[in-house]
Amino acid sequence: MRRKTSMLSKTRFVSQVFFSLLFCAGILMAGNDYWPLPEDFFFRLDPLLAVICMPAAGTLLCNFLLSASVVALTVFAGRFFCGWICPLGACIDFFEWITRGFKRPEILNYRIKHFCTIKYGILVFVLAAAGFSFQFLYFFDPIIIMTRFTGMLLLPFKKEILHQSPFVVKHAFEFIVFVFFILMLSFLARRFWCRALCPLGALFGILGTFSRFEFNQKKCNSCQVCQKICKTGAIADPLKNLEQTQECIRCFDCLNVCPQNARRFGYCSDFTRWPKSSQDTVNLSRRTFIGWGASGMAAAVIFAPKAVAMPGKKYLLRPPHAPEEEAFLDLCLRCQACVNVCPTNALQPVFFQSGLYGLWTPALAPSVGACKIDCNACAKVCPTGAIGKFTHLTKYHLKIGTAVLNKNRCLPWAENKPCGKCLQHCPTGAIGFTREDEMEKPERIDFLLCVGCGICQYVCNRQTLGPPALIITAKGRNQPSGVAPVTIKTFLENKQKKIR
Amino acid sequence: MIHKKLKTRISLFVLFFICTGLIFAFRINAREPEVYSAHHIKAAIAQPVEIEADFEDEEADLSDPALDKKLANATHQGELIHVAHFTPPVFFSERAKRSIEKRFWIRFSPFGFILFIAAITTPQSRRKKQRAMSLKKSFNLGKTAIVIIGIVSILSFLIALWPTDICHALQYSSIKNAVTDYLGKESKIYQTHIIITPDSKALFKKELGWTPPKSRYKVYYTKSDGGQPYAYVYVLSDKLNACGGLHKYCVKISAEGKIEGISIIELTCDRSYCINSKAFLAQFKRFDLTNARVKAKNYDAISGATQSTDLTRDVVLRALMLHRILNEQKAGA
Repeated sequence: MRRKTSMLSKTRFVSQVFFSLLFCAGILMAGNDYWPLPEDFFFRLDPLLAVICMPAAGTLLCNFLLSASVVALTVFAGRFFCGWICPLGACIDFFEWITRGFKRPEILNYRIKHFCTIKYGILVFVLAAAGFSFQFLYFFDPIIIMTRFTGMLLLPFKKEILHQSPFVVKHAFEFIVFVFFILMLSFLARRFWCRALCPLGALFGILGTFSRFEFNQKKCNSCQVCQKICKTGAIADPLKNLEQTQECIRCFDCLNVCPQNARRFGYCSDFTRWPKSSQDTVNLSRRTFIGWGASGMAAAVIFAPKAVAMPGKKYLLRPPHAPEEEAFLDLCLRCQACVNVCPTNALQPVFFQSGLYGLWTPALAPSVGACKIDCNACAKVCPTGAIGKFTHLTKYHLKIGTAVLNKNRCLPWAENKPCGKCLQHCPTGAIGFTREDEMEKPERIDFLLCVGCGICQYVCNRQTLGPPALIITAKGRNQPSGVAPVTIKTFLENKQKKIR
Repeated sequence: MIHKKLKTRISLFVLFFICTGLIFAFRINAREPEVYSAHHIKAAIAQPVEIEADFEDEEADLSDPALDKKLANATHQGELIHVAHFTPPVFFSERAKRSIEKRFWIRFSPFGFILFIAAITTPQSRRKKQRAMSLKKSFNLGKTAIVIIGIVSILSFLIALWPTDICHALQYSSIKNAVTDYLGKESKIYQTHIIITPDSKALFKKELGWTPPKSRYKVYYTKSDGGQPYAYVYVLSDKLNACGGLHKYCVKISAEGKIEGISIIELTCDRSYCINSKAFLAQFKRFDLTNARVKAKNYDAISGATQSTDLTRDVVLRALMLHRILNEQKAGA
């Protein structure tokens, strides 16, 4: 059978490639002043984030107003986002293309309808949890998943090529394995993730049922080729014009394969027909709905920071200008955008150090890198405001934490060996010292001047083989610091002079 | 009733998921706050008298559990914090960090995995395999492919994740063995200390641009039949910041103050392993402090381990300088 490619199909391919490249470029160029788009552009397109984060955070997140336009387009043209824009959808399509020789078990086709309800269940689950101020989107939202994956996959190469500091993130492989697991699911059925598990797809599916753009066929001979080629199983019976609009991702593969050239896609002006067919409804029973909703509430209780599983550790260092721990956990999407963009790798995703709910949230790890005084990249890329907006000069108005000094580990004190690295590097002069035997020995830390940037721990960690003498703790987090803006300004000016 | 094929595939994915979970579980354990022992070398407390070598304090465990426990339980008090210690919740040791940095090749493994899947699922490959396996009619390619993919992916991720926190350290010899190899197993080995005075420090600073961190250094030696020392062995170590590892050397110096041999006891950075070659170490033989070639860094370095070879040269010079100070102290006494 000779296949022709319709213009719509070609356009969709171009769109997928364009948005995939845009997405990758956005990850690679994040934090760069020359990048014209907002760093969180794709997050702004995601209405599920807006729906979930607003109740979870209890605030109106203006960033997500752009997603309203996507919602409007979906209501108008159907679930096009999954087939035209979604980076995870493009990734799955690419994976299915390279594994096209593998004969996928079509046995699932008669069962996939049951699987399809799972995504609606997951949507109910995350919504119910969000109602209790907990968001679990980091497991399910395709934009978040792809941001983590793309960053962990591409940024090591970028930093290696540009000779920047190496990309060191311990959890990188976990994020990559997570996406590979999703890709492996497509061996069960094409676009298994989109059909069965993706809550964003479910949301677009529900909205897409209102779409007035439809397929119709006038000379159909019921060869069912379109039904077989459909990657989401949206065509139930082409002869009877039975389609599941909520499943159709507008890939237009069916237009390419129709031997009669009978299939057409166009606008339907008949507003009296809704739902358009018996197939065109979300088949989630009341019992299942309640079950998923109750599961979401139960998960919210289990994952609560102070509840059953694992209470979080309050002394975890968070990025600058992050709100209090519970608010931070609610706002943080675990997208790792800040981790990706951190130039010194100071921000690292944690595992269970902050409890179950704190999984993959970013924390400052001064032993890996220090928070740079002239950097506000994490604030620029955070899509939800979990890291508050700040500039270079306002960055240290609030403390990240405070350093503590252990003289038993300090080289001048313990070994009578000259060191003084912490004194040289501290940008605010917070470390007081005494002079003995022609050596400057760190004596104490000024609570107001120490902002917890971690440079002292970082340099100390490089001097000592064991744990460093200076360790940053979360004491005083978010309290106003005593550092005058002029101090930072002078420090930056001196730094510039040194560079010149 | 669940379809047979579906059942197989679901069970394979469950297996994949469980294995991934096990990897995570392993990594949780690996990420628990580590208990570090104090690696700082304590100041020697023995008197600078000639005694028989015991090799005890060099090999002793330098950790101080009581201090670690005390510090772990300590809390900070007041606005001005003096001494407090708790294990940081997110802590990478310098070695663990460099271990991740060094394994850049792992970054390619996801792409390799994708290529592997693409290769085994291409139609051409399938047809070839089907032709080859045509005699075995029961051969189920789809099932086999999934099994292979599952096993290979699990293995590759296990291999990739396993050595995350392992620091590549190599100990070639113990100090005792290294010293006895140089001074003779049958010989009686003595030890004494070289006291580093402020004048000695100044001399080191002037000549080598390095200040000795310790106030006294141990030297092993043996005596001839006439009772005169004829060979000295210095054990010197230093931490190389470039690779975050410990380098420990054993340097043999003759009574005339010439290098007779240098051997490496321990390296804690796999980039440096290549310096433990006989050809490289042998070039320092017969060198003394007056040798301009050593001072001018005019020696055969090893590319890829430049800083380690520089450190080796520095250790040679330090040992020679210590020997000079030892002779001066003897002369003074």
